[in-house]
Amino acid sequence: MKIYQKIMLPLFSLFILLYAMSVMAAEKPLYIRIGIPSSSYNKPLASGPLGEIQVKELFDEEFKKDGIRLDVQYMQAAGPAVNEALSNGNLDFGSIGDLPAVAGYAGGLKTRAVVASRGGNTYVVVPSDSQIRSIKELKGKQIAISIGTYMHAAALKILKDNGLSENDVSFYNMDSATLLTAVAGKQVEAAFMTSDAITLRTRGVARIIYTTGGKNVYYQNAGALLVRDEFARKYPDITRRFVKVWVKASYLHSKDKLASQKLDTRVGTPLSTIREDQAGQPIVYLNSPKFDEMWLAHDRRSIALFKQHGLIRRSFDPDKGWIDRSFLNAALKELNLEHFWPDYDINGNPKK
Amino acid sequence: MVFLLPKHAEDASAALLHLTGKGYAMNVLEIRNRLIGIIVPALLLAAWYLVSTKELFSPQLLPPPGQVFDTLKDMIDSGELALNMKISLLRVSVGFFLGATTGFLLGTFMGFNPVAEQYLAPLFNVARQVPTVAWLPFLIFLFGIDELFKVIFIALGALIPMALKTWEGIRGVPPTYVEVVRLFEYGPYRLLGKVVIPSALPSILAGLRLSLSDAWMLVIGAELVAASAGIGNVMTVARRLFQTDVVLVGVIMIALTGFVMDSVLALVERRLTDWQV
Repeated sequence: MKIYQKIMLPLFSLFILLYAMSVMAAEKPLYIRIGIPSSSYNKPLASGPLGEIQVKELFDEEFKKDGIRLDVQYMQAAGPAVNEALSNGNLDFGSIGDLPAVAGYAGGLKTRAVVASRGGNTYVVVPSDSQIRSIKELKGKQIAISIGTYMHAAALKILKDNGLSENDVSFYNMDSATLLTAVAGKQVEAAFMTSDAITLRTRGVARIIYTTGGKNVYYQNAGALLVRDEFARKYPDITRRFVKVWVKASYLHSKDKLASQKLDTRVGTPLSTIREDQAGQPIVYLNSPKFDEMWLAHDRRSIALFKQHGLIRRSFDPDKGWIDRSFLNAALKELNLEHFWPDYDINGNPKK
Repeated sequence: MVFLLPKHAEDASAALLHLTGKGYAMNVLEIRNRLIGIIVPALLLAAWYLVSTKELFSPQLLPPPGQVFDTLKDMIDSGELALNMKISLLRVSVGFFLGATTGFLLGTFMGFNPVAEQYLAPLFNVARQVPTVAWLPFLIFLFGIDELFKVIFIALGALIPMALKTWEGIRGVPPTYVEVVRLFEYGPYRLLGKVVIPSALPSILAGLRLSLSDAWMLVIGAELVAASAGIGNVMTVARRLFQTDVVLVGVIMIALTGFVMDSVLALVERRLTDWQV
């Protein structure tokens, strides 16, 4: 009895305590950590649905009662850096473009695509006094680009359409902030970049020779909100609730185009740039979280192209094991938004 | 390295030296020493294999050796490795040649000319404190991101150790040697060729090795920052596309190339300084 009291009882208590701690730890994390590409202006703020979450405090509305806080990390090296942080467990979620999301999964990164995103344009700019007028003239030129981002994916497609490949040009890898300086300082002969191109043109330092704006949706970005598989398995309910917050934010961001555009200026992008970039595109389309026909067709065609050009080593079907619609469907049902966003066809038109 | 050998091995070598002559005994010693040198890398390789197969690290971050060697083979077969290595080696050759030549001339000038030494020594002593990579942003501002920037960056890195070691070597020439030569009334070129350079040769060759080693590291540094080709750029692109195996192939190739370059210079050094032993 004495042995039992002296040894077994404390051991048993310790076991119970450790078990209780592990159960508590499994139930909820202290933080939900999400990584997004930093804006060219390096402001620690987000645009789009995450911007809406920050401004309207939607995260706290859902998670404050649990004591869970949101930790947003703004990655200057964009999507590829988000992949690295997901890989070493420093992030739980990441909102990134098509090429980094696909390259990460193809490279063995265990993620699930839980919400779709779409709509980022790519611009090709040259210094304002450059003689270059067309994509074909980029042959043999020094071009700044953020390797591994959705603009890299678009570059591949644009060059291919003009009978060129990556081997015909000299790509110099730069983050978005360095890229702006390189174009303005004429250190490169051209650049593939985001809508920051419009701002550069307004300042008179660059000329836009090509934009994916108004072209087929295949040339635009079709990224995703990713969750680390381990996190989703450990905290399925937290994942479901976070996706619900994201979908609610997407809904609020889909209601009034001008209001959404004004909110997006918080990262430093001028309103005129955002308006020109999104011209002709319904705000409902731009914020649809659905993995619809348009998104799937885009991703499948892109994956085939990336494989063909050696950007990824293995091909895969995004709808077989990578996309997990369970959290999104639950959120759409709970928020009664199942029919708010139409399904878009391969060309980005709403399906009848 | 003899101290690493067990006693009986030394005895055996001594016996072989007695029986068969110096050459054979040296071979046995060298082979044993080289085998000892393989132990730690082999253990590291085994640890890498175990850690990656047991998935103690995320396999995306640390792919197993087999996968890395398969990737190496793929890159050799596709010609990607040869093409990029050729570009990196060309850059390093030009930068090293320019840097080492200028460094040798400057070091010789300072070693011979006390006035030049007074003027230039403080500058060199300050310059050697600045890591060459710290010049990178400034050089990009001045020369852009093209080949000129890379060659100047490599040359700058190669110049400093070469100049310092040459200067040090020439200053270390015993004054008695110079006195003897002066007695024979040799001209300055003969003095340089017959006495100063041979006497300073070990230091100059050490400078050459340091210079080449720095040049090789700097070409990789330059390519990691701003390049569209070369082995450093291959690693940057691979990192961005989440291809850790390709990054590791790059690391292996950099290490092997650096080792081969240094070994060749060490061989040259041994041949040229044999007379001193």
